[in-house]
Amino acid sequence: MSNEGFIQEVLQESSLSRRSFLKLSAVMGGAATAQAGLGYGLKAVAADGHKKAALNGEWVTAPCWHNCSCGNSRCLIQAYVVDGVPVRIRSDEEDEDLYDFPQRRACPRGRAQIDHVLAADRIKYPMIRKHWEPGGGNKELRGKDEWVRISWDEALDIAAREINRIYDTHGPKSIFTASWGYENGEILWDPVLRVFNALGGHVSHYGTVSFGAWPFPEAFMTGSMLDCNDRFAMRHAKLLVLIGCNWASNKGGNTAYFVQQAKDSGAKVIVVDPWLNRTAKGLADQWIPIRPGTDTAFLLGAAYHMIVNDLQDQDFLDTYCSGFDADHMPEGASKEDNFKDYVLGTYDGQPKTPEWASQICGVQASVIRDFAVQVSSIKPTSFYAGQSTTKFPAGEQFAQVFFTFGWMTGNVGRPGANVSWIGPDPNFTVPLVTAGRYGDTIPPNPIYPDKIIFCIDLNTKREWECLEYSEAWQSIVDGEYGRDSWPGGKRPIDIRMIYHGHAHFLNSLPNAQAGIEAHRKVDFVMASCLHYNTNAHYADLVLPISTLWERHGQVMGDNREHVLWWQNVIQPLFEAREDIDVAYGLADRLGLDADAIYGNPWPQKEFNTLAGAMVMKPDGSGMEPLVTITAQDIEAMGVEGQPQKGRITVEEFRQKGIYKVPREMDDALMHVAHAPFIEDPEANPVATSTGKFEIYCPTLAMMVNQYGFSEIAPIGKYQEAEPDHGYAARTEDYPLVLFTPHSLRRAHTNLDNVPSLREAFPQGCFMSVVDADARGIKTDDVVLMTSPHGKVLRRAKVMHGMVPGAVALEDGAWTDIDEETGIDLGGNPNILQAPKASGQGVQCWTGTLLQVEKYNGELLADADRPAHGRKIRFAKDSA
Amino acid sequence: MFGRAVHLVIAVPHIWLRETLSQILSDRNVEVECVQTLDECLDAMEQPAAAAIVDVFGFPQPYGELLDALTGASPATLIIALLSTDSIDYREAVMARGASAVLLQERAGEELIPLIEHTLRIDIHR
Repeated sequence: MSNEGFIQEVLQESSLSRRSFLKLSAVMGGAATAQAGLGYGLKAVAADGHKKAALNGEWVTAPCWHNCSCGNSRCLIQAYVVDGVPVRIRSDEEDEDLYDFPQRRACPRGRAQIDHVLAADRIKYPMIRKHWEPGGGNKELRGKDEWVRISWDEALDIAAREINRIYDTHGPKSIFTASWGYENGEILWDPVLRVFNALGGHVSHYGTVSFGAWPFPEAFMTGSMLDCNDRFAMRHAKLLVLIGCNWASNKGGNTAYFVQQAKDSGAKVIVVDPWLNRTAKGLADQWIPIRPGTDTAFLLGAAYHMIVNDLQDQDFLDTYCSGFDADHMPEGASKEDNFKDYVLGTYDGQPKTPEWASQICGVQASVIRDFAVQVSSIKPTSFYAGQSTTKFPAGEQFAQVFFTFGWMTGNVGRPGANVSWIGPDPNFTVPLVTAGRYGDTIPPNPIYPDKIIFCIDLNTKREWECLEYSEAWQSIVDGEYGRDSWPGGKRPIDIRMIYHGHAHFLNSLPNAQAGIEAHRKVDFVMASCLHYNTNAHYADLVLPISTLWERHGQVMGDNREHVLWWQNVIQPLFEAREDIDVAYGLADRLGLDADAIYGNPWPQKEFNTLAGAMVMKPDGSGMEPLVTITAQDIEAMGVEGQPQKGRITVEEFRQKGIYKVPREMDDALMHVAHAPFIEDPEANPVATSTGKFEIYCPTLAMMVNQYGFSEIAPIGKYQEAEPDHGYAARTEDYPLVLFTPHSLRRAHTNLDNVPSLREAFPQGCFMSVVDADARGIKTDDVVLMTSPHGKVLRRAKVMHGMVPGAVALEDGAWTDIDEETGIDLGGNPNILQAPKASGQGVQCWTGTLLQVEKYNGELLADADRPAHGRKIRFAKDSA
Repeated sequence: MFGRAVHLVIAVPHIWLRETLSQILSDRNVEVECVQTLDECLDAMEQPAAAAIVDVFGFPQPYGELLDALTGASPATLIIALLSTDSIDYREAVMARGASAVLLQERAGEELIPLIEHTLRIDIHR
């Protein structure tokens, strides 16, 4: 559907006035600019919209709700709204932009929010698949069928009847909820899951997703979670080592700027990565190209050079660590199992020399030695490793070696010294400001009551009615899940309904081909969607959900140094409703207490997020209320609450839309990970079984190995990934390996429908000039990417800055399967990915075997393809 | 003491890199011919060159095709491949297609002259 068609529908179907429609037309660019290939005609809007805006509009703080990077997302954006239509967008422009206290400016993704909210492929009204009937009808037509527009009442009636039928016939373990809905029930969690919880439960999912294999190694080796130095502490570093960290693309806000500030203060930056990414290009003094998934061998080779040349910080290891050498093993452990002897090859006969490592990782042995000398001689050094470094089989091993290697240099507990996997300033470590919660009471899921996000319940080993992300679709297809080693062995599963809510699981999980098969197997697929995405395409019933711009305002955190208070920006488009309204409507039809499911009314929810907002005291001694609230404020908001004293008034906060914690270099709020332990290890032991950093960590090995997906030792070791996965497993048929970095075009899978971002950041098949030349491939040639699990068509981007043998396809592109060939035209790497679970429930997105060949056929450029990838086809006899 | 100057070809499409390499060799006892296309390079190698310093991934032609053309035209000329990415996979790839030595571009200032001397087993003193 063209933008012009969308606008016509707006005019026909919505309550917008003609004046509003004309402004909306301006935002959408109009037919002329769209046909000229300019997409939304932003230049025209900027000129025309600005003039009108100056006369009539107002700036409204609007949410950029996307999680572009864990804990560093959600910059300030404000929309200029004229007569209910957003015509311009700006970011943090009002506060002075200071070096220590910079503005919180949005990236291209945040600035594309108008295009996202007003996208042509927004779901406009409830739709049912034409040939759907109770029980599914012809299930094979999912993804091919036409749509019939229905009313909300019809849609909710159908959903309630099917849910009731499936519950009555097959029980709660037949419902798979592909959505996020853990215990806190807050903004990013799906309220529809409250309905399934109240009905009797549902089958959920688990796995680390973003975090890779890091949570358990950090927890059990260091005794902490998500701990790292903050940005000011990082500025003290003289050397930054970034392994698999492309912060310039995938960490929102000012993260790359903070690295530049460290450079301004004299730090050198080394980037270790398979490709010359934006961070390496823009910030690195040295780029060390490395084969994907071989970082463990690289660090072991460097560790060998340090040990044989006595470069390690032995005092640090002796004082703060256990397990490095035979003299410092914990009680009960074999002395032979120490890390030093493993590296030296004392007992296994294989010294992990730089030459040994070089053959595995592709880095010159001389470069490995030079790296070892640099990190052991430059102090303080900050080591960071991206989550993706562990997203391969037994990826915990890299985390083990990374921590151990960093500790060998003694760089912990002082400004500039850091060994962590999470980037600077996530909100997890010691948040300086937080938002309050809605205050709703959320019914638990009776099937899986434990409030665990990342892992199955290993402690009680009771019902493990969760599907691991990598294997979820295959488990539904096969009718069983788990491992023989689990209590009771593999478990049968008979999923009859898939519910899609706050996530894009069919697109986001590995083995998406099996996902499509699973969707064509079950009785009923219901999808609540903003846009016509992959979930919607393979559903039976699609419900139009409003964006956060169309909802009630509230306060939201998710960044260490700021919170946002956004307002309602526009009225819901077409027939879009909030998902809490879907929950209410379903609950009402299912005989549940709908008011209890809904929770507090919106003004009260908003007030609770405001009143519950807390900020760190200037001396760092604890949190205190952020907002001063008077009795008049409470009365004006029409809510229940108590006046309180805080740092800013309600009106100040509402006007600015953002509160940023004032910061300056070396202030009392600077966070240095593990500083108390380093200062006095006896008085402040870390929370491990030995009270020290555990290089030898049997608890970690026991915990990880319980899952049955892979096996690790108590110390970090290198092992070839799997016979069918990883660089060493390449074959004649599949001589390449895939890795999947984040893209500036998307926040995970969000925003892939935005034409301006598609044009700016085409979804290419990034490959080495060596591999391309061997195949006669040049940049912009159409290439077929084939794995054992699926096929994807893309245009090649040939690089000298890519390690031969490796291919990058950025994550999150929306699947667009050509039903005739089975090839994905949208470029979703999950079509290629294996259903391979590992470790603590880690998805092995790095190292899938691959072939790339020149393709004799056409592929429209991303910017020329329809924003929704596929046309929404309506049955002719529909309304 | 001062023998006849050795003939070298610098085959680099990018003018800055080409000029940089030329300047590194400017006070040495070498005769340098700078070219920017494959055709120019083949012309330059009609007068036998001891070595050609080639930005193998900087040309429009695939690197394998480029190296085949150069080694076919002048088998006696040693090819020193310039790389911008330091990886054993790139080194092995160009060596397998006929390069005699590899030089990382960012280290040209320190390593170009020793590498030429080592590869050609000559002294190109000032």
